[in-house]
Amino acid sequence: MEIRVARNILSLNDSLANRVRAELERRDVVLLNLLASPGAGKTSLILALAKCLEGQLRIGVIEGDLASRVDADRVAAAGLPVIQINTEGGCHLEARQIADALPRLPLDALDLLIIENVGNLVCTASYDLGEDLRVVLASVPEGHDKPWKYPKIFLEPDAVVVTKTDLEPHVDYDAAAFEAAVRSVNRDVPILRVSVKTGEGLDSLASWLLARVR
Amino acid sequence: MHEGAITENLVSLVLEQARAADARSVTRVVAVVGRLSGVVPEAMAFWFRELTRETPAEGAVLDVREIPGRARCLACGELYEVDDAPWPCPACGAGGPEIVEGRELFLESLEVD
Repeated sequence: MEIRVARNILSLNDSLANRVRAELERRDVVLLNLLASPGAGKTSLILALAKCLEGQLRIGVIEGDLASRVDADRVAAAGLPVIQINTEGGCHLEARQIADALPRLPLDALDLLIIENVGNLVCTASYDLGEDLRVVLASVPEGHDKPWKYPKIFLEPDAVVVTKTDLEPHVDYDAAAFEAAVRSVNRDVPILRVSVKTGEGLDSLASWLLARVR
Repeated sequence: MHEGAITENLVSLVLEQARAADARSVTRVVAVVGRLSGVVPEAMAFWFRELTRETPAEGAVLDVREIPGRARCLACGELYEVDDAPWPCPACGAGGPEIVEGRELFLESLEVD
């Protein structure tokens, strides 16, 4: 006997993601999913943004890592509410892990919840976590060709953020080539450039974010 | 890269459907995988064999139907096939097309006894 199904293989994840989205909408919290390769500067950027937006946005963080609490400890030391999820080898976060983390966060005292996804440009792209905003980071030392190697992750983010721009004079990185590579797969996505080290571009990114949370 | 996790989802869907149909065993599973979905069919087939062991779907044939990537140029409207990026429009050269096909990842059907 043949059974017609025609259902998305990730439909269970997607329905959990929709549940997360509905819960956070009810609690008036915007969820941001931050995607990047390992070492792109996700944690440092979160901390820098939190400082920029102090007094304007109340920010909480969900840290996704294969192992350790290193990132969560840094975020907690900055005084932000944080939940660490260890995936025990899993290469991405799934909506069920976010659903489990929500009751452990002070949602009524938050405006913005940032998920720092596992460092990975492949698997993380497939999983809806219930986010309202998806931002992809690409650091200067990774090179300008990433959008060609990982086009899928550049297809639908709300913004692409180039990090570590202060390193440009020291490495073979062509900013125009990076922009062209992004545009070859995504015509319209905003591309923002920041350096946590020098503070370049942080205000513009903070304003971009503020406009989407309020 | 994450075919293990994705195939786990596929196998749960298959077993859930088989249970709902009161089936004894699953003999065939048809999955549709787009070329731009990030899922490698060979890896999915490997995980499918592993993850269905000692379940009613053990030994079932996994038929993966691949769908090529197709894009629509946002500048001139041309429809064309895409695989590895970059994806310049063959008619006008513009980049950043709208992807209209190739990201599919779904369980189409199964055959059960």
